[in-house]
Amino acid sequence: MKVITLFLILSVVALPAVVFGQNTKFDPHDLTGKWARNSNNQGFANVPETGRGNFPEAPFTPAGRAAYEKNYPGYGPRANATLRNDPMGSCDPLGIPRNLNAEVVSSHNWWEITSAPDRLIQFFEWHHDYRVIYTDGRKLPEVNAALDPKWNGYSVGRWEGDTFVVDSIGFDERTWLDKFGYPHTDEMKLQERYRRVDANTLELTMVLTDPQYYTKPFESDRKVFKLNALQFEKPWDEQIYCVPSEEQKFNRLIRDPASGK
Amino acid sequence: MRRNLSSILAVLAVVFFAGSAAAHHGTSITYEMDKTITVSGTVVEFDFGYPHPSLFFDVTDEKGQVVKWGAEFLPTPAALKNLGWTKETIKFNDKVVLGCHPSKSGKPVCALASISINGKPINVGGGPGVAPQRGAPAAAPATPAGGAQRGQRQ
Repeated sequence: MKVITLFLILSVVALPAVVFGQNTKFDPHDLTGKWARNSNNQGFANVPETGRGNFPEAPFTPAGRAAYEKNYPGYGPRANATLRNDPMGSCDPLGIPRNLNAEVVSSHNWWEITSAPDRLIQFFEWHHDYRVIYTDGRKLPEVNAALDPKWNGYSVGRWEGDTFVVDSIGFDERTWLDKFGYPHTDEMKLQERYRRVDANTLELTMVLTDPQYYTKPFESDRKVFKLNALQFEKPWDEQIYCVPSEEQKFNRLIRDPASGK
Repeated sequence: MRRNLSSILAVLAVVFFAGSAAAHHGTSITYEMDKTITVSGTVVEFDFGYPHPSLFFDVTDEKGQVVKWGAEFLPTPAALKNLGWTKETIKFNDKVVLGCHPSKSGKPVCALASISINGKPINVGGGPGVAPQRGAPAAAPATPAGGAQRGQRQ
């Protein structure tokens, strides 16, 4: 009888983990792992009802709106087949925050966090790019003319309870916030807030300040990522890589003639 | 049963992700996704790469002129590999019949919905010969002697 009871208890406890492959134990301060976006939205901020698109009106300054209107996405309400100039379409770096919410996270692949004693490193598959978040207490550099902007910016991170807060500055303004063409300047400051809510779920919210382009802080929606929730499970990772020469050939022979560009 | 379930999940995954995979290149604004034409030809080159696999093939039109065609696959190579595709699935000189969404520009370029290779339908995500897009119809019956039928609404 005891054996049967023990078996039933073990079954109830262990079965979900066996069936669903889930771990239940986790350290909320451990963000390492491969994270695939589970939330549908691919914009920096989104219209909740539709799951697609972006805020109908971002808090643009006149300069911000002018910059926005020079960006022609291939997707969304402003999609333009012939004028599209999305940096992603020519394999240019996506930068932060786009590396975090681009479609490359979900359908093309995932991003991964690994750690060292003084930093966290995020790896992004599409460009085989990486980004360092220093956790050793150093201060961010001063934003001035002497500071070279970087595609992924300069980042430091710290814990506020169980939330990992990342502050970044010094971004290259050639990147878009997302595939809808929202712009930013090299004076953008970004704060990311990561929280591991359970063993398999990581949540991220972001807010940027960029007074040249946005009249007030511009907040993202809540992004949700799942641990090891890759599109196709395989013993070895697929190499998914944006190769400029391949992208150029694809555009030259397929997409440009198809769109009349 | 397990294999069947895996196959169904794989197909659903390809169908679900086909749209987002193609998103940054603006598929919906480039092709007439509500139309499917049939194009028959002989393979010149198959690029099984990112962002989307591409197929280049020669089509002989009704005047006997060879027209260079190109087609893109909507799923990524990773999605197609999960269905059993490899870079050798289509070879030089293979005879292909494509169900295809025509380009809006009218140029001989299209977005692949279905394909038969040397007379054999091959699954591109929505089952053999069925378009991978959600809600899209299957391609028309293949033209027997080659040539493209543009603008054929299904």
